[in-house]
Amino acid sequence: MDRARYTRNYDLHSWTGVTLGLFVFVVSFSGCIALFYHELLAWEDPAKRIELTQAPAPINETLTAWVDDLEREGEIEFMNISFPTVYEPYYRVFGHVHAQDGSHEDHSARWHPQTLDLLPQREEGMARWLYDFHRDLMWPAELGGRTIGRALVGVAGVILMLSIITGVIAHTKIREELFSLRYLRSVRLKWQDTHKVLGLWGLPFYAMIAFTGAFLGIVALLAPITAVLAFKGDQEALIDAVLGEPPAAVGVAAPMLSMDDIVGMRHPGSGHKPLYVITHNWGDQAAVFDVYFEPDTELKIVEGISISGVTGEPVHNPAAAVDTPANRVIAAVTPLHYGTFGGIALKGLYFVLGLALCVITALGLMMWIERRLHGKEGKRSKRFYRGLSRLNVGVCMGVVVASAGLFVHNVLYAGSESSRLVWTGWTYFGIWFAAIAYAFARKDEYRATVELMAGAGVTLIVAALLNGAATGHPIWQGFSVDGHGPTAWIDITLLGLGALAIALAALLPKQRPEARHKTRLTPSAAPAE
Amino acid sequence: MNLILMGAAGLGLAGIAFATYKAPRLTSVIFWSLVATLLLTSAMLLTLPGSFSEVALWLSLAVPIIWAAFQFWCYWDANKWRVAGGLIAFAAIGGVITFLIEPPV
Repeated sequence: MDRARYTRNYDLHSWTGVTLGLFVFVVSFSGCIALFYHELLAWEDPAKRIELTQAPAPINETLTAWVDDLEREGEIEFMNISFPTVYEPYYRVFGHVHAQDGSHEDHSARWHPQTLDLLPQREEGMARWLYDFHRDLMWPAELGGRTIGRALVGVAGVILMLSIITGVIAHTKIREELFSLRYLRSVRLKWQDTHKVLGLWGLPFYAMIAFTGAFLGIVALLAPITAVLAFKGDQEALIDAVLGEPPAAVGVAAPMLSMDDIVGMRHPGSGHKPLYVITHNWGDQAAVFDVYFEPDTELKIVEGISISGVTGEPVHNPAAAVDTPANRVIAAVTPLHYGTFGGIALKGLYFVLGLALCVITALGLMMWIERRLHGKEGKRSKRFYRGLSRLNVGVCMGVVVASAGLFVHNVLYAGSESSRLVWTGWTYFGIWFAAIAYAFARKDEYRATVELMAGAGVTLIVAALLNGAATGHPIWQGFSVDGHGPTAWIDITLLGLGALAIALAALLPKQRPEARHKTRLTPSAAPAE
Repeated sequence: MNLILMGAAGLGLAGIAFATYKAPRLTSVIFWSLVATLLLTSAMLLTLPGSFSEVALWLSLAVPIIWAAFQFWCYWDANKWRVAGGLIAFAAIGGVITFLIEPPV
């Protein structure tokens, strides 16, 4: 490769990292937590700590009474009825209603799998925030809504893909760099080697996560844009052309198939139990139930069949997913991205590799700033680059502390359920901005990093202990009481990660090694770090 | 069309034209690569043979790759004007096909 091309490629690698590196860091870190969405749901909601029963009580009578009440609110557009599973060991129903005044309303309920007692309503909070912040940044409706946020996360995926391609091309001695870790030389060389070694060893994972993330994000934006371009603005026509038209009601009332019959159904191919049902045209002769089962392959989330809601006979529903090669590939994207195809150990591996990606991104930014602070590169003032360095520490460590803080907030929250998600968001951003302010006020990036890391560690340990005290389910109970397993594992992970962060903070030198070295040589000329 | 909207669109186009003239590589990597990707994908969606839904799903998978490839080309090619010109040409061809062919309804 000629020198000019190498330089251009390296510039592209640097600039993608510098301009969007912090954003990629935030998306990657939030993704590490989003991996454990279902486990976190069980941790945050004591109602989910119910033993999973193999023979749940018949639900049809209770459900029908609830639906009768719901029909008084307006026309039911669809309902989602879930049967007890490991992560949600109770019956749950969600109904979307088109009210008589033209508005749309959502209603939900959940029942104990054995007693059919109505379980207390619990609005979404920490787990939903952490999961959706990764998926769509919880982008506010006033600024275009979640589609915009999701597309921006998709852009982070494309930028990561570009960084990976340019990074691989920039490294001309890949074999040597795979094993090159010069930890006893300068700090900058240590960062550089760690950046390269972590990047090269995890390359297939990062390429996969960048591509699947880019797809999941951009596809949300692609539909409206393609509709504007190719379908002259008619998004519904595009959706119908791709997915097929949903079944239409005929206006003739008919009794619905019992949900207890559906609970007893098995998938004709795999023999698996149903997980949930989505109903269309409830109460109509043309009612269609899409029944979703555990898939026969782990590279799918669910496997669905459509049946008549009256007779239970299979029906053709063009809007239900058809098993084509493209559908199979697209169905595999989400399990690949979230590591749901290999159990909790695989999620653990994803978590470690995801954190490594955060380290790579942060180190890349630190090297870029370092070359300008202590080298000949860069045209701006030292003060400018010092500010960038502090912003880097504040944003990166701040998102870690803010995520840890949400665990404590979840336990201590005493407000109304309807405000839970809003307060979760305020707490998250409040802690994050406080951490950024601290990084600037501390005037020592190295110490700020170490202290924020220790702060995150303490917060995680406090969260685990508080959770045990507040719910009356101490950690040691988790492995002896059925239904508490996932919660206990989360508590143990919080304690482990908290202890690790505190230990690291304690073991690290009091000041940056290079600065200490310089202080020893020339005490009067000690740098600001 | 509303005069204010037309003015804003004209101003936007002038801005893009000026940015392309001043920094063709940077404008291409930020703007023209995305426009070319979207218009070319739409054109392929309307012209490629096979089941429409299958083509749409495969193309949705291809979009991130096409976009990243265009962005990469912006800095790979030695000639900055060939990059900008190429992407504008892709966008133009895609645009013409998209607006000439009727969508399947």
